[in-house]
Amino acid sequence: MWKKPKEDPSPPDIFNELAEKLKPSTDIMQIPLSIEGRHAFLFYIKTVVDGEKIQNMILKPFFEMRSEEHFESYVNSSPDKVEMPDTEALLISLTKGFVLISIKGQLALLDLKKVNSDTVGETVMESTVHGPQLALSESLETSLNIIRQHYHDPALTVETIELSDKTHRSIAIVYNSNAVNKNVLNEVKKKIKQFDTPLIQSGGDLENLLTNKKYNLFPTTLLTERPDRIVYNLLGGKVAIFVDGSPNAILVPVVFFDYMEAMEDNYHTYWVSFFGTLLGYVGLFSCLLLPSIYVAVTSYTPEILRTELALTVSGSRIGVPYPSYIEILLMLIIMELLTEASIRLPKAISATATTVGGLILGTAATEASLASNIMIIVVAAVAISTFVIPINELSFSIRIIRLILIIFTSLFGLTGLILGFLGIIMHLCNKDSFGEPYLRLFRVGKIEEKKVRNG
Amino acid sequence: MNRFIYYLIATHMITNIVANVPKILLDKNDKGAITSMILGVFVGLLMTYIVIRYFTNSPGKDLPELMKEYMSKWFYYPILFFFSIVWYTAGTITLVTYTFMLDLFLTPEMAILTMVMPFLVIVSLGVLMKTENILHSTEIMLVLFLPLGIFVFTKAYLSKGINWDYVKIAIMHINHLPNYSAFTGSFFMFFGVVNIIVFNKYFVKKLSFGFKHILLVGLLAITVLFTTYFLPIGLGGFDDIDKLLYPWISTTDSIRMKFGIIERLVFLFMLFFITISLSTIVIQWHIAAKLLEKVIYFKRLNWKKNNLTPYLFVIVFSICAGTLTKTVTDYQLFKLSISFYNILPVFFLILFLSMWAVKRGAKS
Repeated sequence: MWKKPKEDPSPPDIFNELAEKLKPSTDIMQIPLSIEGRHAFLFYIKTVVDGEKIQNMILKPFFEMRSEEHFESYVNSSPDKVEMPDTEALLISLTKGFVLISIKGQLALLDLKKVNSDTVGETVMESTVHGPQLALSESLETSLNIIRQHYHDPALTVETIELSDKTHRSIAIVYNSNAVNKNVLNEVKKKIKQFDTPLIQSGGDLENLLTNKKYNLFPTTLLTERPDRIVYNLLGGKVAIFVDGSPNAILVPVVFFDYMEAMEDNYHTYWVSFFGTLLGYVGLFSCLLLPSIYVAVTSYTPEILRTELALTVSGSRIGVPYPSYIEILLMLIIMELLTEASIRLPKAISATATTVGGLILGTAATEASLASNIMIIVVAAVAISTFVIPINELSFSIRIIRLILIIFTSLFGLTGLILGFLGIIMHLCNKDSFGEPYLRLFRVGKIEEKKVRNG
Repeated sequence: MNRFIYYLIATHMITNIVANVPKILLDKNDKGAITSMILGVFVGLLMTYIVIRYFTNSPGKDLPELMKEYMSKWFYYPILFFFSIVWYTAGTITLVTYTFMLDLFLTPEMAILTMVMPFLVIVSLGVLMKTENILHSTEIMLVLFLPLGIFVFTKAYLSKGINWDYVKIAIMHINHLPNYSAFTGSFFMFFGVVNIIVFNKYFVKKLSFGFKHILLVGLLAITVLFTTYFLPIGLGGFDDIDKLLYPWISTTDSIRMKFGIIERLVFLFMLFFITISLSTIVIQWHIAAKLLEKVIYFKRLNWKKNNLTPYLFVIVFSICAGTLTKTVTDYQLFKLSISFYNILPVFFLILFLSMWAVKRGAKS
């Protein structure tokens, strides 16, 4: 360095430049430190940095150290030090909670951010009896920490990408570099770089952007909050994508059966798991087919049932003033409204919704002859079995496809029901998730096949 | 993908248990149906063997591709067009027959066009799928519904309604010379294997097809033909069985399940057959569309990066099938299918000739 000036040095030009750009925010801090001829300057945004860390890691050492050189090498060897980006990126870094230090005209950038959302919540969406009870965190680093702590393997790779949207969030792509499907990984990276939206706030947003088609009914990515599910899938070669600020991870590529797998299934004895899986599928089929079967059987082909049952069904419909498809659509829509209301309502009022809903979907509706008794049972069974599906993304899709199937059945009867169901299967077969087929049986053979084809 | 060839064979056979084949066979019950069936099985197995062995030599290549490589344009264009018509007719006959049958037995009060509509919608959806995905959806349908099929067939064979004496009477009529229509009818059962001419593109691994596999197909064919022919006779008697319009469905309707929620077994049969027939129709129309695509392809017909030619084909297919359903009667349909089965040997002759031509072209 050249000759030291006698008077107190002024902060470097870049500080003023940055302050100019960040004006008139009041939480910008520009602090000169000086004691016995030693000088340093700090620049940070007060509301995003950890004050305690600044105190302990910068201020204290500064005043305790003997010379500026000591302090400089202290700062340079700090584990929180990051490489100095250009001015534009520097501004973004400052808004993320980085601290800019200038010692003897040299600039250093330290990551001292404070995240208040790094608590780890309990699992809400996919709760299990056995298995881990804690979910991910809303802070990206905490979530990554959880995954790393669940999965100790040097092959676990974490790549962080900053989104090019307006909020400059970080996204982490996590995969097992030995097992991962390279095509999928490249496609994911390509897609993420191509994003062109102003705001990505949650895993759900990102999920929609990752999907090719605009009008998509069945999910082709899996949103999960369970660390054990993520680790299980990483091991199987999937790619997990984390968004900062969202307590969920996205898993790609998925197959249909991933949605039908509760993590609980791995934690029980064979037959218990088998029974659990079976219940899941019974739930899937009943919530998809029951309403349509009701329409087909009451309005088109009552003779398909044994005589006693056919009589009971039609007997219970005595007094209902409209055809069965109106009855079922009415009741299903009320049920959907109720489900939707209990998701949206503040927890304090949700008891009201269920009580009122219970009245509508209960005896009152049958006494008013607006629906038959059996109809109420069907709707209740449908409502319950919808919640049996382990991943609720799938059950949301089933809710819609169910209505389409009801319309198809109302138009074409029992044939319509069967063909509509087969149509759904064909649609699922024809889907793909990041180039991987969506619905396939016997996948082991499939892998062999791929090997053969690739030479 | 070895297993898929059996799916192709099996779905086609099962579809025809109820469609026109039993009617044709039972029509000739005292004019050589049994000998025709035996002959049909032998010729069918021979055909299956030749076709599969031929295509195992060029794994991953379909016939249009091979023809394009080794044959002149003037030959293979009309041949592919003819093949496409054959497949379309096969699929359409199945479709219309099933529509009539369901209209008669499941929802009699429904208009015939309303009956055919769901088929056309779902089949069109299926035809537009990728070829590989059709195989996989067929697999899923078979896995989902084959247990049901096995259950209903076991139930049918164990039912008290079967009088085996009638079957014995029928077997007594073995001493007749084969009848041509009955022979082509039972030969048509083996038509499923010819689907390989397009699907071979996805049979990348060399198919192993030897004596064991022939035996498997043979057993399947014998079971299916036995069920097609003798089950209605056992349930409905021998003498007047040829007077029924849909003998197979009419007779199996006599089976009851005493403790089932669904009492009449015939509805379970229908559920099973609708599923299998759907995959058969989808496969056949898909092949028809694929073959036609090789002959007629509108390069300019694009919309949002998708070529609309297959969509156009599907619309034309659907309109033709819908019109046919509206215009023909049951009897005309029966006559049409008999004449279709009767020209099948010509089709096979052309198929084998073109296969031979390709082989010769490949050698020289």
